[in-house]
Amino acid sequence: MDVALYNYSGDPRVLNKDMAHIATVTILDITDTTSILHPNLIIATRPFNFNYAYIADWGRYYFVGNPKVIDGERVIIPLSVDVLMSHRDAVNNTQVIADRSASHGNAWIPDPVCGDEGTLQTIYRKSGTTPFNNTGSYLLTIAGK
Amino acid sequence: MPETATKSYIINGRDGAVKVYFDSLWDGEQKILNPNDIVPLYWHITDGANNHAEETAAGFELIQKHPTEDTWILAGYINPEGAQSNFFIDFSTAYNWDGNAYTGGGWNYNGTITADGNEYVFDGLGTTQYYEVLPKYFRIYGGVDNEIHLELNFPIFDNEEHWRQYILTGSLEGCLNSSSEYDLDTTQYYFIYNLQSTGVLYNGKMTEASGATRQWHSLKFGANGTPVLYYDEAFGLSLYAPGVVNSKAVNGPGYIIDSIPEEGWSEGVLEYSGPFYATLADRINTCGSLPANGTYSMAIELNTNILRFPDEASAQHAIETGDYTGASNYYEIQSGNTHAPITTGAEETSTTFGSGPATSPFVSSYICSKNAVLNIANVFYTNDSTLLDNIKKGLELMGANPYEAICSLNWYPFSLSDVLTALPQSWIYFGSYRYEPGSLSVDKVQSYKSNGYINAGSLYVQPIFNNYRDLDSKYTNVSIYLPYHGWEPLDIAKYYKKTINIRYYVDVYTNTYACALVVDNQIMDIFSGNIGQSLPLTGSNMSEYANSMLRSVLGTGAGILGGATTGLMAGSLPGAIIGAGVGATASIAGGVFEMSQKGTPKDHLMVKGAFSGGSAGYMPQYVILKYEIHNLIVPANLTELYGRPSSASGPVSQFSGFLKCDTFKLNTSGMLEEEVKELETLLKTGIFA
Repeated sequence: MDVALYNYSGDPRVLNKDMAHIATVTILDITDTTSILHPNLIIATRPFNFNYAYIADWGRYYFVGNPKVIDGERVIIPLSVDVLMSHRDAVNNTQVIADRSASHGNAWIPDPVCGDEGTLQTIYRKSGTTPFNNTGSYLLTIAGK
Repeated sequence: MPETATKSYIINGRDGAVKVYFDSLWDGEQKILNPNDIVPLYWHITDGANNHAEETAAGFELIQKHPTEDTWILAGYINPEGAQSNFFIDFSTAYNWDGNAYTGGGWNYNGTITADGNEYVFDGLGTTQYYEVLPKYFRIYGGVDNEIHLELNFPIFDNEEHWRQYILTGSLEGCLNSSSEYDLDTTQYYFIYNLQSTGVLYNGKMTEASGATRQWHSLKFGANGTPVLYYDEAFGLSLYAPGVVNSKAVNGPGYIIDSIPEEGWSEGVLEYSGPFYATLADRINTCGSLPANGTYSMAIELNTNILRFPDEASAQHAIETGDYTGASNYYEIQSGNTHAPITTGAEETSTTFGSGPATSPFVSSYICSKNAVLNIANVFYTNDSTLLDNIKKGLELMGANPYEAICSLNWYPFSLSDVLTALPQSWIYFGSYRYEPGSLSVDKVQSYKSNGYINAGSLYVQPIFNNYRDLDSKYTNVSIYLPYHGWEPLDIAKYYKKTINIRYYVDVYTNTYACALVVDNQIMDIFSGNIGQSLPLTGSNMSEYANSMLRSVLGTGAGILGGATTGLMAGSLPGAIIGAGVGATASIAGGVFEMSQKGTPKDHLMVKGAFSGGSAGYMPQYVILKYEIHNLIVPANLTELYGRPSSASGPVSQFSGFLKCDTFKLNTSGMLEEEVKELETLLKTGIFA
């Protein structure tokens, strides 16, 4: 069984990750009672220039944890499943109602994250015309025809 | 607006075209036009033609505020309601205003517009055109169903005092600079207005400078990409419905589009050209050849704004049907989100105003100038015994006391002709005695004007943040200052992005007003108060006048001297007159006008809702809007790192960037339990899609 080794530099919460392939190596052994979601693989010693892995036989992607050197020729690499990348098709097709979104934000929903700067600005605008003037009109009312 | 924009130039996502409102009265006032105003064309023009022929003759100037510059542009159209099948427009009245009537040259034009077909024609042709040559025009062209599109770009009066200016509300986003070329999106509709003499619409790339004879005022593109060119001859004599294939040849500027030869078009003098429509096929047929293939672009060189009007007959106006996936509020408008039609009660889309208060047949009111008041006031101090005897005879029933005949003298800081209909004459009546000194000029009040009001202008309540903060009083508060009233807070939700028209409905007999804030022809708020000054006529009622002013300032009672009778008791006058003599005349008369010009000394308080007397005259005479804005701290990378509040729905794949889900439905096929839980946690705390 092989494991493909990658170097990934992005945020672990990214759904569709782009990673640089380093090498595909043979899994020499797996430690006892290893979990498919958190396996401990034994591979041959090699330059440790990877932090991400893919096991095709299990169809899953993994984050690489803290390696342990067994001897001068082998090393144990603990892996933790990346559920987002491993099931990205299912996640991409998941129907959601967003609470917050970078691409579909609604400016008319209050955002509690924004804080009051504490400054008050006052702007005045006056109408362009007014019917009131100093000349005005007099109205004289007299009893008569 | 980016100079190289190639997409549509939509203004505020506005739905529907701008409609204009006008009435048939010609008083030179400005009317604010709102995007949703609808005017039944036949009401106004036919009413004007039948009853107020001279009023029909007045011109219309529709102006709209430039979005970025302190100027106005011209544009507009009218959509008449109802199923009227005939419209009659009479421009047979001459149009020189000599101060009393309209005389002289002008449009002589009679026509009937039939709305029962796609073509609107004028029966009859005027022979006289207006003598003032302006690069503007007046035109009516067909619309759909019962619509008529009236494009009015200039006044046909020569007297600027009698222009009717209509201000179109709504802000414009797009503004093209002169000498700029833009490729239009042929899937969109465009109305392009206010092209000036240097404005040119052409198809293809124009390599030569435009001439002054090339004036195009609008160009419309069909939704299927076919430009629908609509042409009518000068002064709207031939009208075509947009979208209808017309057989007339289309005149236009020379140009080349792909294989369409230039000679297919002919140039003409189009100083008074207007909107033009014809199908592309029509034009091609005229050219005699068809383009083999390919695309074309419509380039525009102009120096005005572009307004975009969606097709009014399109499904965009139908809530129940239509494709809204492109709409910015797509997630709100989906099937199942529509409401049932509201059918109970009569629809109220605009406030119907009353016709004003009644007047008394027992008294006569005269609108006077200062000199006229002086003229009349001097009667009471005259040495002409014959005149006094005649006046007393006319007032026999009132105890022969001239002062008993005078009910009131009031001064108002506005033109009374705005609220009262009055006729000029050179006499007044004291009871039954006609006093006609020969030098008197007054206007005798006939009645209140129907829906007569003082137009105090308008103000647009603009967006500040253009988001929820505009409607949240924690961040934005709006107040309005009304002359002779004071400051009032406004419910911004009622006025947001609306133009407030301020109208004072005045009762000159009680010196009270009802100030209505009108938006889209509907009253939003009403404030009442006092306006005008009751002026004392004798020294004996001066104290009463002062007391009444004090009472009004303190809000303890009616603020206006309710007629001269309170101060004019039998027996009080003779002493005043006999004791006063000429000197008293001067002082009292002088006192009258001093009071009206300066106000009472104690009225220096700014009492909300209790302005009275002349004190309010010291206060601002303009309507003022005050915005109080609390500024916010918005992190620059907030959207990137944490998104913005959302209620959008759909598959994760359609989102990009940060996404935090409120709720979702996972397809857990192939997932282990721990994976499902971790995914749920991630979706609720946020991922980057």
